[in-house]
Amino acid sequence: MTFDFGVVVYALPYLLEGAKLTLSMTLLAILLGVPVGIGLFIGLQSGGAVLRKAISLYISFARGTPLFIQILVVYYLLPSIGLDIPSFFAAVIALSLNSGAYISEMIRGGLTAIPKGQIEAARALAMPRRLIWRRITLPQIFALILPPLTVEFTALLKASALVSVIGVIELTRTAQQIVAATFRPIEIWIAVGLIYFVMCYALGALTRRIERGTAVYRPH
Amino acid sequence: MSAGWRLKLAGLAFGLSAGLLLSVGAGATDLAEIKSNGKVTVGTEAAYAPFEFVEDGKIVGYDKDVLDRIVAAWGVELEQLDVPFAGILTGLDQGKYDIVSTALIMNPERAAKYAFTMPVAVAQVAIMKRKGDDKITSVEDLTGLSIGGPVPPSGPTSVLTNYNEELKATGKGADQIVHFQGDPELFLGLANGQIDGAVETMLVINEAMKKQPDTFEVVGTIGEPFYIGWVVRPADTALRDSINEEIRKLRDSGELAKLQEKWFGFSMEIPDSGYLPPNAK
Repeated sequence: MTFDFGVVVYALPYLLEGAKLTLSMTLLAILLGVPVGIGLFIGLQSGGAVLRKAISLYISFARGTPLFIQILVVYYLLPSIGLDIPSFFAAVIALSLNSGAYISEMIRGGLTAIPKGQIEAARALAMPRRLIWRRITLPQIFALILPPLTVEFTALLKASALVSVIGVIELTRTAQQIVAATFRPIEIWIAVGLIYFVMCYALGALTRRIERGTAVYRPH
Repeated sequence: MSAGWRLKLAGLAFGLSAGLLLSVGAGATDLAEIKSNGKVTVGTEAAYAPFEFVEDGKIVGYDKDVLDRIVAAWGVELEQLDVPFAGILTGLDQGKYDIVSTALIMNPERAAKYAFTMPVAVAQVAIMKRKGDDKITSVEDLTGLSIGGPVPPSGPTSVLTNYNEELKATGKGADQIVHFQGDPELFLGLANGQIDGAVETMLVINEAMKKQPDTFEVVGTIGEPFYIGWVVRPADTALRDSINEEIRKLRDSGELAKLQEKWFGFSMEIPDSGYLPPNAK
């Protein structure tokens, strides 16, 4: 087997084009996934018994079934009920619905780490419930869960490779196309691995910066 | 959880799974509808050189050239999606596109479920080996060998599997048949020595030998030649007939033979009838 890395030079512009799509898809899924996660968490904390049961069932499904199948379900099932979504948006929806479930669990975990005394003190000062959430609980929760969120976001970026199955021409599918035309799998996949690594590393560096900026909110 | 809720959830789950299993219940798509939309949506697995693959960011290949001529004759726009093979027939069932224009061997399993167009190509399935490897010298004797093919529902792999059953009856069958995600992985596996032989159509094997010279050689062909065509949903036989009409025109004008020369280096006999398996739609 001989290697010819010249093919990477040919492939790079197309791979970067695919990487752009992977990145924008992941960022959109994060932007939607965070509010989904917060919504699920709020529902779990303050919803009625039926809503709470439904949400925990949803979370178990999102965490207990392969993302691959969730992507297929969103893309192929919604047309059956009259919602025909283009593959890119189907991918974003599937990724954010999946990520939202994990994020709500992280928030729940973060809440348990906040000392009860703080909330009791706030209540004693007659702070309204909403204000306690906004000023005391939520900022600390977010400072606490930033490290696991970073893990979730990088996992999401890598998992986004799965959406190639519904025809989104992101980084992995672009690589498959090039491999199929050039018959050079090893060279191309090494290059693609490096591109994913650089993207994950950048995402990690970004959230580490935010982490430092929000360190003041972390409970001691 | 109350009983009512459980019932509703069960209903929901049933509805979801039923929806997943059933295809969209819309009426048949025909050429008139495509013309009134001004657009035809086509699914292709653009990873099968020289039939369909991506070059400089665009889908090209033999099928694509034929498709372009049909679409031009219809006077409509083409929206072509690149879908991995594993999901390509599901997408057709679910109405994501109306035609699968990707090289599909007309085997009985597929012909029973989808409406095949007339053939656009004819191909012999063959086994390829590493150049100079004397472990495998004849397709008649695969004893102790491991032969690879693309992952099912690949046509060449099903030909190999059936052929190997016959060989086994005489005690000369292959030890194992290994499935690969796609042709590039298959050919890599062969070059690396993970398998002793690889099955594909001669058209694809020729392309691989061109792209990686001095790596492979053909052992021999197996089975009868297979017709290769495209499919539409079984209800859309009118659309299939409209496609056939254009393919026939291209064949009769000599254009199809020219395209075959361009992509395969030789031309083929395309019959008018008798190409479908007996149980076909």
